[in-house]
Amino acid sequence: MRNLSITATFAACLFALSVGAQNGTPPFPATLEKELAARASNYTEVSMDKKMLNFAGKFLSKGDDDVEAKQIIEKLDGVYVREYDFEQPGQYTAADLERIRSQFQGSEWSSMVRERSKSGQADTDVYMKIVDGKMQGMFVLDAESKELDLVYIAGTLDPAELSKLDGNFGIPKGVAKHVAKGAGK
Amino acid sequence: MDEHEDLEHWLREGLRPRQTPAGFSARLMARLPETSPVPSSQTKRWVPAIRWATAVLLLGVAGGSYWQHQQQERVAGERARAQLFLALRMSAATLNDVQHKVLRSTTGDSE
Repeated sequence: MRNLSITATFAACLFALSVGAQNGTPPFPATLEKELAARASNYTEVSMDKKMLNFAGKFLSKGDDDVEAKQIIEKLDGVYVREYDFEQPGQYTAADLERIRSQFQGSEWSSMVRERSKSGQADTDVYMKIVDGKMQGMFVLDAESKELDLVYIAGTLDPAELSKLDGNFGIPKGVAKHVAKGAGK
Repeated sequence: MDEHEDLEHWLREGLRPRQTPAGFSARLMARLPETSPVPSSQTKRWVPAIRWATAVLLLGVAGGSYWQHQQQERVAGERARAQLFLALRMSAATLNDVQHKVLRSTTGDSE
């Protein structure tokens, strides 16, 4: 009986994971998100799955930014951004960051940038999901003493296309090149 | 027994077919209202107009709801577009911060 309940729980977890993957849900731990939002003085959460990206794509004009955006989102499965601002330092812990990082420990994920501060309040991580030599996703964690930013982009990200971001959407020229170079390694 | 006979007689007498009085049909017809149930030509003239008005009203309602739906979709689309640009700008800003941090640490290491 006990074995049966363990198997059922395991199957339920697998099912939940597969459903999550199919829906393109962000891999951020949902409970942690709520906790961080509760602790933050100000937070922004933007979640755009494939369906939402396609819908937004229909309303893009023929302007330069819109055309670039359309080309970029065509191959994306989702864009998930979280930004938490805190009143004081120490509102999130190193364990919180580890819980987030643990979502990107699979064999398909590679750590491109890993920067750790002694205080543990200025960490930076960039993970790339590379499948068959193609970039299938990117995750960025940027932690500062009073700010925590998480960006997860799911879908095919061609480094060459990534360079199209240069000078658009407020991205200074050279940033995309830097990231693309990292992905090409 | 007599009672039965009396009743029978009374019934026979009461139910005996009688001749209608003279001029009954004429009087009856005279009392009937002059308007006939058949629609007059004036009413007939309004029927197509009423049908057209109903059709126009239905088309108006359908068109209105379609327009409302389109408006709602346009508003939702504009919101989605704004959300997309917000997501891209925030992603860009985070990437920018990361780049600066990496460059700073690389420069610091080399110095």
